[in-house]
Amino acid sequence: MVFYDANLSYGTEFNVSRTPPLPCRTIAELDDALERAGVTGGLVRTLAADMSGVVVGNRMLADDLKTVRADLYGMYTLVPRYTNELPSPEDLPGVLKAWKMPVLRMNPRTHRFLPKAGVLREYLGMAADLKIPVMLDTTCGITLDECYDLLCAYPTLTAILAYSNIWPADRYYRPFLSQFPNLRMELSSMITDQGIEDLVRVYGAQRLLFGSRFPSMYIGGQQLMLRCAEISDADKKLIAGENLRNMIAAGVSADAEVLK
Amino acid sequence: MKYINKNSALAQEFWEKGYVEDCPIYDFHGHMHEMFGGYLPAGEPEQMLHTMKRAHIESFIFSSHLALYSAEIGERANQEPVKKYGRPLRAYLGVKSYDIDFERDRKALEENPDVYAGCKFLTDYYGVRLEDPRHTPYWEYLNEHKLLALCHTWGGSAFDGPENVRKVAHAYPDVTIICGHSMHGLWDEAIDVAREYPNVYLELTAVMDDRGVLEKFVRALGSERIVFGTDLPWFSTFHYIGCILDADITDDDRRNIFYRNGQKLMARFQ
Repeated sequence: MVFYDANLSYGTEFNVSRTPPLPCRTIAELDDALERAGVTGGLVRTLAADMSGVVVGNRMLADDLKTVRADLYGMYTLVPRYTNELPSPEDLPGVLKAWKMPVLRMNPRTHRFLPKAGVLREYLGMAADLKIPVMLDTTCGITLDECYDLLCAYPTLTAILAYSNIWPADRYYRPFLSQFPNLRMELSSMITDQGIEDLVRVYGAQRLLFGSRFPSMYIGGQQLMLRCAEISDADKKLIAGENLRNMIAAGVSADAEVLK
Repeated sequence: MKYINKNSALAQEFWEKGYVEDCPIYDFHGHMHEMFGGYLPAGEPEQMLHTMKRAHIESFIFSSHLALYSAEIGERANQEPVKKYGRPLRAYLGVKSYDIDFERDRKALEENPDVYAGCKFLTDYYGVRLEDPRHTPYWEYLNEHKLLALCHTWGGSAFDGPENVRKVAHAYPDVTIICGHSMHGLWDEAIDVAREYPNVYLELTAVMDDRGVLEKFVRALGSERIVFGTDLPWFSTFHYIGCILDADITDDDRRNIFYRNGQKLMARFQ
């Protein structure tokens, strides 16, 4: 299997109480951890985008991505356009491409803005049109309620839902999979016994993405769970990495069409 | 390509088949059947036994959700699967703090010596302290018969936090107290309590989604006082095995956690 991990991070948290027991401070450490676990690549965010700020953090991640062995792609951190801190929605696709950051993310609580569809509409509209994936991670200052409202406003958005709740939480997240056809679910917190098998039966393997949430969680747990899942080898390959790579490629090619 | 942890020979063996012949699993924290707070795709005994067979689980000690939460159904939900299927199943009698009847429960324990390995205390859920006088006859019985007590323990809880565990561990030294969730969040205090009381073991359910805690336990306490557990059918046995294989500890530590410690604790029940 070729693993691409949809939920990686590195950097230094300034709130000591939120620092994980085994932090991963640099992208070089992350690179080593991926090599140790046999993970080929994945999607990564830097804590610097939330600790230092979006302008510094996005640039830092772009620079760091040039230094790694793994096939890593960045998550670009958004804030609303009204303060003109980031490139405009028209210019942003070119930046994402140049910086190898094909996925958007946000942390509304930390960056202090309202996670409302109207507040983010220029960027989300662009992302929906260009099929640029948007990561919705409930550890990053957005609640599941707010994710649902955003997706109701942009039901065709290409989104990744990373719902951090290890309880058997199907009653929470299955409506997302049922109602939003371009949403994929990142699996780091979906650790229910035979949960992968059940989701594949109902929604198909195309909707699921391998993710670990490293360094807060172990990579090996989800790797062995997927390896031992009673689904076809083809489905395992999709979940392990092919779905994520297809998502990225779809965004890149849509972007290329528009940029022509 | 090596997966999970290229530095662990055991990890590479598990990767091949999902189990290793000479490395069985002893799971000290299980449940069974429907649960009010979430959908469980594989919570019935036959589904769980399928998982256990695939994961090479040699011993699985559980307390059914229905035994813990349903006064109407109670211990039938524990007894019937063990009587029907035998090994690897063993049950903890659910100490239902909301429906205490020690004579009923003593009778169940004594009439079913092949079913039970001890009792389960879920005091956080019931809002009753571990050391509450209503629980005293249970603790005395467990102490007299040298049985296991699986206690849900959670950091910051007034019902089953470190101080509550200290009180029962001190008063009942012949009970093997398994701290389910290892006093979740108060990791240093969990280590302290285990150091103070040799009858206290730390258990890993809901610990393994915090990377680095197991390493902390092993460094501070060694691996001989840590037992494997999953809350199955909540959490995937394979996920938990994978986390332990990934952790920065030795393969010898992993074997202690997977089965050696469990074999010692369960030897009297075999």
